[in-house]
Parts: sequence; C-alpha cells; structure tokens
Amino acid sequence: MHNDKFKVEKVVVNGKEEIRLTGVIDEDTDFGTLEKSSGPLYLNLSGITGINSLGIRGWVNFWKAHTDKPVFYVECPPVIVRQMSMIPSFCGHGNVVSVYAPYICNNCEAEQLVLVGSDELASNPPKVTESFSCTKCNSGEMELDGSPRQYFAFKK
Amino acid sequence: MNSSHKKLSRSVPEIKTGLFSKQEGAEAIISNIRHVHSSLLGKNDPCWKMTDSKLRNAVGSYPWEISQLNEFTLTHSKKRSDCVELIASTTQFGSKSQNRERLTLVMEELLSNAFYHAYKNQAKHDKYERLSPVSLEPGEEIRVSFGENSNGLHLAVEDQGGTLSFEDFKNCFSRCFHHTKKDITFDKKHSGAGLGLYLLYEVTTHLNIFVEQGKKTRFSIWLSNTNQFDPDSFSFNFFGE
Repeated sequence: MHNDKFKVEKVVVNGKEEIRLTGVIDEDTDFGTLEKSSGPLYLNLSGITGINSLGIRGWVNFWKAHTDKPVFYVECPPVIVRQMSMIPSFCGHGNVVSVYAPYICNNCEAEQLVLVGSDELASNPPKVTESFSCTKCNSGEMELDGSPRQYFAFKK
Repeated sequence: MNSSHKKLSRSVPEIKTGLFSKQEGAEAIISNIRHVHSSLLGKNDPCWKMTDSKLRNAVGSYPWEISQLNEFTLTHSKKRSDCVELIASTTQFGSKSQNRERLTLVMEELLSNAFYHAYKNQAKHDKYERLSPVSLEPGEEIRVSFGENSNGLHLAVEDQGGTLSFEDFKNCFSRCFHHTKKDITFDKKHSGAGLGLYLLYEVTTHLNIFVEQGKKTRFSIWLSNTNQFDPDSFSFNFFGE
C-alpha cells in the first residue's frame, strides 16, 4: 500500500551510507524496505515528525524480528528520544549514535535543536551544554527545554 | 522518598500519596490503586485535596481545570488531525514545537481511543474497526474541550460510550507497562489501546478518567509547558466502576 506519510531513502553522509527515514510512523508504516538492506544499518531519524502507539508497536516488533541486523540510530529528534526514554524496548538491540536536544530561549522563546554526539552520550548523564547565548534576541540564554533527567532517561 | 498506601474505608478506593516516580505510580495503579498523587507537598497538594473532596462527594474542580474552555464536537475519525491543528494554532501552548509534539501524541491517542474503543456492538466487541475511517452514528459524538494558562494546557475528551472499567484500564496498562521492558514483543491483538493509555500516563502531568457506565467516559488531562515540567509532580485518578 502506498504511504505518502513516510519515506525511506539512501543518502551518503561524509562517505558513509545512511538510510534516512522521513515523516510519520503510524499504523500505515511498512518497514519492509529496511529488510532488504544488507550489513549494518545507520538509520538517520532526523526527518521523523511524529509517531503514535501503533507506530511504536510496529517499530518494536520489526526490530524484535530482526535482531541479526546491526542497527545504529543517528540524529534522533526529540519525538524519537522521548519514546526511547518512555519505552526501553523501543531501542531494541540498536545503538544510539546521536540525538537532538531541544533548547529554548528564556527571553524570546526562540527554539533550537542541538546535536548531542556519541562522545557526549558516552557519559551518564550525558555532557550537554547547560546554556548558551540566544542569537535571535542577543539578550537571552538558550536552556534545555524540559528536565535533562527525563529527556535522557534512555541512558539508564 | 516518602509514600503511603492507605485504605480509607470499604467504599473509598485505595490511594497513594507522597513523592515518588512515574514508574512507582504505574506499579501502584497495576496493584489496584485508583488515585495516585506524587508531590513534594504530599497531602497538602491542592490536586490531592480536590481528589479527597471528590471522594467525599464534594463538588469542585481541580486547580488545573481551566474555567474558560473552547469546545467542539467530532463525528468523523478523519478529522483527528484537524483537531490538533485547531488547538495548536489557537493556543500559546501550541506555538512551542515540543508542546505541539506532545499535544499531537496525546490527541491522537485520546481520539483513537474514543473512536475505536468506546463504542461496542451487541457482542460487546469494538463497534468500529481500528484501521478504517469512521463516521459515528447519531448519539455517538466525541466532545473535545481545551483551555490554557501560562503554565500549560487543559484538555478533555468525552465519548458517549462509557464502556471503560478500571479493570479493563488496569489490564491494558499492566500489559503495556510490562511490555515496555526489554525483550518483549507487543502482541497485535491488544497493544494498540493499552500502549496509548500508557503513553498518556507518561506524557501528562495530570490524568483524570471519569466513567459513567453506559453513558460517558471523560479523559481530563493537564499538559505542563515543557520548560515548567516537574517530573516529580503528577497525578492519576480513575473515578467510576
């Protein structure tokens, strides 16, 4: 069945092949394309914009059935990180390489995502920037939007 | 950590108050506790005081229930995403992408639950098939209301089915709570609704469920602004059979 809410494409980033997933993961999502890829899978999730309970079920069950396939999650957006933190089985046997952390300005409420890489994620809790100057209003500080303990709970 | 389990009397359900994690709260619900309030203030917490009053049949609203509400009704399942758009575009809360993301998840789960699990056929099975677009029959509308203040957003979704029991809720919730642990596969038959309820509990700051059997089920929730979110302060209440 054609699903225009979800897209899978191969991209090359810094000479390394990644599979980029874009759109919404829900009851209509077919992960079949991922089965055809051989070797370790580097899944770039930065384009995922939403996921519901049936999408989570499909995702968890898919990886449960493919434990032989090494998988690495790259550039995970907040919508995915929150699922990882709420549902430990969401990551399955996969390894988290990098995630985006959401920051918000305490003055103008501008939002910015900051990439947290494998070096920072290696420590628990992850070493993330506490705050930095807002480049939009030039007077506020960008701070992590939400509780770090809650956001990075998948690191437990 | 200071928490307590108490049975007030045979007619009043068990409660858990004190300061504890969402996981401990979930374990309490699974062990049959219908009223779970975590707060540094313990029994002085205004939300707990309201629950206590309601258990004594007093009339009143929770501190987070906004008096000025916007309301609309829904009869077509395909309009679910329009609802999210309407709420997000008319509230300050929805202007932040982290809030909008949680709002989308919560509304999708609440509305799917109302469309596909609230109404039963004569055999007491779900009347409408999960993966099909649905137009509800007369008398089966879904009512949505919302309002906000500077701390967050209040949402309520009400169906006219009134088919949810605490036992059903607890079983779904329990199944998914255990399924979230590693190495367990979600079974296709059950986990849609159950996982949705579990996500609601995890994402919301306050989650109240009011059920009048055969008449209506009302989910009343509070979503705190992400930058004011205190993971140690939350509540869950189930009022009904």
